[in-house]
Amino acid sequence: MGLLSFLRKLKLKEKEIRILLIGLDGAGKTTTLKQLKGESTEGIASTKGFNIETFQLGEVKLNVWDIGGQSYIRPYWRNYFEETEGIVWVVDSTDHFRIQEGISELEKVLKTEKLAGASLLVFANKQDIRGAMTPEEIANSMKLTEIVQNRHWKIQASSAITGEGVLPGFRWIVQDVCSRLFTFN
Amino acid sequence: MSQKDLQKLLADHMKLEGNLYCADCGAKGPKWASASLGIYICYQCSGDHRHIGTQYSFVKSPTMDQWSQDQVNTMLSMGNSKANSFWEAKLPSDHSRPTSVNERRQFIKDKYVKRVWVESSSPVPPEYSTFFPGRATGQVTPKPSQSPAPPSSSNAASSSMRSSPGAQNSTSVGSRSQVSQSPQPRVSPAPPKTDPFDRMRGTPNDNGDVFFKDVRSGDTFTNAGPSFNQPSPHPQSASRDQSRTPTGTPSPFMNGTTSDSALLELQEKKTVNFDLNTEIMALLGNTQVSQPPPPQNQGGYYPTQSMSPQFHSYVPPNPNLSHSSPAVFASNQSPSFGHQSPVAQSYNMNGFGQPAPVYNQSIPQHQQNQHFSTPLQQSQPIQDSLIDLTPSSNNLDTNSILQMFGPSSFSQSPSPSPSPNTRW
Repeated sequence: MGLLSFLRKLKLKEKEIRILLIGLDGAGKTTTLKQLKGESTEGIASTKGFNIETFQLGEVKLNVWDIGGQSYIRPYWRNYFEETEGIVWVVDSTDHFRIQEGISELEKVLKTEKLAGASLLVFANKQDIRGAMTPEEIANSMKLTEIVQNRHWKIQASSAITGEGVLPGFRWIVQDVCSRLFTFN
Repeated sequence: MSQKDLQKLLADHMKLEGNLYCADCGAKGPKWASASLGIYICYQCSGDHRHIGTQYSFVKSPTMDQWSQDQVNTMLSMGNSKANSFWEAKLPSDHSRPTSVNERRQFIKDKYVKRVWVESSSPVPPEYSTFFPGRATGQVTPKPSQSPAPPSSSNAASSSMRSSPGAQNSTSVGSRSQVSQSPQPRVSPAPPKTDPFDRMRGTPNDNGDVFFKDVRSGDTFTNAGPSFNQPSPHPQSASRDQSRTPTGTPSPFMNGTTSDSALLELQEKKTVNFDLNTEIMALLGNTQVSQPPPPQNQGGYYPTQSMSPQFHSYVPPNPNLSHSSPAVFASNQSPSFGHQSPVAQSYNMNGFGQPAPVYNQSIPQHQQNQHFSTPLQQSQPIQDSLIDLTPSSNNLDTNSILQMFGPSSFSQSPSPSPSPNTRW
């Protein structure tokens, strides 16, 4: 048995992927995570530090790291980039004024070498609020097609409060990451 | 103006008397702010403010977030006293501040979303013009008789409100023009029936106004548990009123008893500790090998991965830990390392955030292998196998040092000698 096949077999045993949930403060990262977990989404205060949740989605074990988005703690994001296969970026669709701030932060993240191959899922969150921008508007105003260079990405309308769009979004990123990582299955 | 200057302005503003207590629950020393409402709130209330949505309240941290000049101006010109005299204009004076989680949630929804206690005839402060499109704007006069403070202290409270703009003037503020308008005339009531807000309350709005549409009403509001729409006065509210002024300076926003506020303060401190720990951990990154593990296997630690040294090196702290008492740790300890009890105790006193820098090198090689080479069982609690790796240097007493290096060379040791089958 060669080394490669041995490694493949190791990977096969445990289909486990690590996903980073980031975005500006107040975008709804923790709420998205709680909604995915089926927990109450009420009264979530701003994340100090981070939350990690592990759960099974199909055959795959997901480790979702939800990191606080206060501008003060954004520099620490890069400590979590190691071995991350997917990035989920959450955008507050009602926050017209901070789109530019979001662009520069996302650009910084995507420029990191450690995340060169990672898939990107953008949640256009808070779609349940009237006046929220549509995913197309967000993709255009964030110039997503320019920021993401040859990486798999998708923008998904969601509402973390109602749960709409959250699961489909995660299904997509899991499927995309798996098709890259576990091609030999 | 630079961010530092803006944050300095906010920090000074938070020290004013009207802003010393959370605008909603009355907790001491609020550390968060709602930039759109211009109020200072505590961490717990900030969660509920975030839940009602950014269209009602945009929560920011005065120390950790970027502020714009406009937002700071709103903060400086509003403040808790002035904001509450608008939002709680019709709140009965004997209404107690929310204490439980559900009560607070409902209170905040009633106050800012349903706007139950807003005087529909009073003018809207210019800062709130986006919340009330079509309403006449003007300055709000604080109404001492309807403030939540007991009547005895209301005079002093209102005078403090009036004096606070003067204090603001001493700082150099861009929005001084708004602030210094404070001796406003009491505004005569406007005809309320033509008010668009009254039409909109509780019914769908056909004007297309975004702000008044309670888009999340349905399930989220009715699911909030028992209804607190008309909360009866708290049974202890009378005694609460008596004990409301621990510092001797009466304020309408001091509502918690001293023990309550002390508890809140304590929680606040613990949270801050955790914050620092997080930063330390983040700074240490993946390089530190001997991070103390969390005593409970919750959330982010995966026993199945403990084979790889990298995951040993990277043990995330658990937020829940900061609220659990050390007694929990002690009760969770496995008896299998009973002979090392001084070390285990030192872990308790140390807390989880401090790295233990030197001990890993002094540990015997076979002992290290014993813990790093065998995979842990899924059900085995983490601390069982790792608790002995986490002493803190400042808590090492002679007993624990003796047990580290073996009792043979220190035969005069008063400590009980370890059992013969241990390898120490």
